[in-house]
Amino acid sequence: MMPPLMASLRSSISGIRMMSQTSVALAHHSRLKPEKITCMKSDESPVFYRDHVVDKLVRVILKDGKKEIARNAVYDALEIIKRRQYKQWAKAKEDEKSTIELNPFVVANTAIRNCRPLMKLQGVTRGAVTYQVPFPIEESEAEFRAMKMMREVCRQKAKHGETHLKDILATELLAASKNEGLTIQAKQELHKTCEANRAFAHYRG
Amino acid sequence: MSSTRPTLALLTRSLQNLRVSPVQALQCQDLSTAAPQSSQPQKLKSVGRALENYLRNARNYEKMLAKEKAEFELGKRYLANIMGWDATSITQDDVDKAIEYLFPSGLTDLKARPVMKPPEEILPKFHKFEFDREGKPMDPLFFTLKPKFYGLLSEVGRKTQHLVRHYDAQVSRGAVPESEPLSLAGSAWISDVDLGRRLGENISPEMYAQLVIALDYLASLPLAIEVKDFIFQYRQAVVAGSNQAVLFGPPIPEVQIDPASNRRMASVVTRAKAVKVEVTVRDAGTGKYTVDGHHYDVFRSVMARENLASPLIATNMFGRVDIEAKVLEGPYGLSIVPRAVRHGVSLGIAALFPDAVEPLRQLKMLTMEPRRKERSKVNQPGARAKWIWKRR
Repeated sequence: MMPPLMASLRSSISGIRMMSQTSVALAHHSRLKPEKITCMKSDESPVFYRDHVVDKLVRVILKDGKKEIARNAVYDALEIIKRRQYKQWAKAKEDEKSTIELNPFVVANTAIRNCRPLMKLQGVTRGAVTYQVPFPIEESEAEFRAMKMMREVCRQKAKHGETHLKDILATELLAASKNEGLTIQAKQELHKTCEANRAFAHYRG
Repeated sequence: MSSTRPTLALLTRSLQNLRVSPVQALQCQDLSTAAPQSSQPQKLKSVGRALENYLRNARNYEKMLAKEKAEFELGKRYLANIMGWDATSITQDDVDKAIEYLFPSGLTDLKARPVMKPPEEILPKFHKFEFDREGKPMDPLFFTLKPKFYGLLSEVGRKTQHLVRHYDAQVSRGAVPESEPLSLAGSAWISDVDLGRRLGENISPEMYAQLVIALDYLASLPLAIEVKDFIFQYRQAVVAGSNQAVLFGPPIPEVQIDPASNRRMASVVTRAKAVKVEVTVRDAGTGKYTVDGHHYDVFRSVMARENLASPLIATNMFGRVDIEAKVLEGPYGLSIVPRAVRHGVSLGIAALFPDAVEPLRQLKMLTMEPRRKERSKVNQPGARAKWIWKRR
């Protein structure tokens, strides 16, 4: 029973990053209490469609603890992406078919990766003046900022008339995966500001 | 009970004893330590004030301990009278149980509860060092300030040297000694806390590291099997199943036989937040999964159904087990019942199929959810939120 079980397990939880941690392994055998009591999070169950980027996007879009609404919005957006890409694929010529990405999870991953900023601006106060100083950024924080920029862009668009978040998000993700769209623009502006403020970099640390 | 009187009485008695002049104290009889026997003033002057004090303290401690021991024995006889026991055969276990019965305490700190134990265990220890007639310490390691620890290090060093020399001698004779390597599997070096307690000294992390390095080297030598007993004095067994005892929440339950259908089953009561559920997992099933009598489809949220099915996904038990969950305590929200039931199902499956314990443990599904609702504080709307702050 063991080998097929482990194989299916590995494939299903490949997206989860916390494989190496166990809830009690770090405790010395003479300690009665484990070092850190962790248990599986509710949105990280080992289903085969588990994807780290999509899960994080759901959490970022979450508002007032309404997980269902956020999750449905994101998954409906993924479905819309799939439908649009399939239409394109059906219309495309034979040699172009292979260039069209149909898997919406891959599209979402590419989009967020393209939107990741390389630096962030942090306010540093020196003598009653707060300068926006560029700082290096970790991968997880870059991912979060990409998703947050996308969320802000989507909310802006909603104010200007488009109603459903799933449509707005689908458009943004598709555009970002091709390095177009408002989120990519926002990222590029951030990079420009970082370039412009690079003189303040000696205020770091 | 007389032995549970606070140490204040002891202290006053010790203080009273201190008022006795050093000469008189030294002239007192019943000390087991080797003290300067002569009562001539010239010899005392050469001994020094610090040593005087030390000897006085040692003598007082002995007297106090003897008194406390006598009181403890008397107390045990009183206790036997109260409880109707035979006075000759009283174990410490009986005494503990009797004290817990006679003095029921709801104090959460176990160390604050009433206790009746032999005085050596409770009272602060006094380290007695052996001195010769001129006041010089008998132990050559006395001036290291941690003689037991450095004695142990020296012992390890001596044994290492002996093994190395023995090996070299054999090799030079031409007979390469063949001995099996020492197997240290299933055990770990004694922890620094336990070692400190055993030696009665405070051991710093650097000292402990040095000891572990020395012991590791000794255990790695080819002829280490000769000093196996010495090495294993400082190894603590790490039983494979001991990790189970460290599970947060209810442990993996025992497997029972369901009398009605003669199938193996495991039943466990768990909680998550404020919800208490009882989950029964039965082997040789058809895949029935009910929560409060309804099939788990009644949870319309996809995340709820993901959670309820996740132990089955992780261990590939779809269609093999029957699961019956019942909510015991409310009130509850819709998203918390799946989490509690998931934990119960994981524990049930782990009990019925020991092979499934490892995948469930890696996914952290055997641990109970530790989080609880944080209490609201005064002057705040909730647990953390604050009212709007105004500068003036």
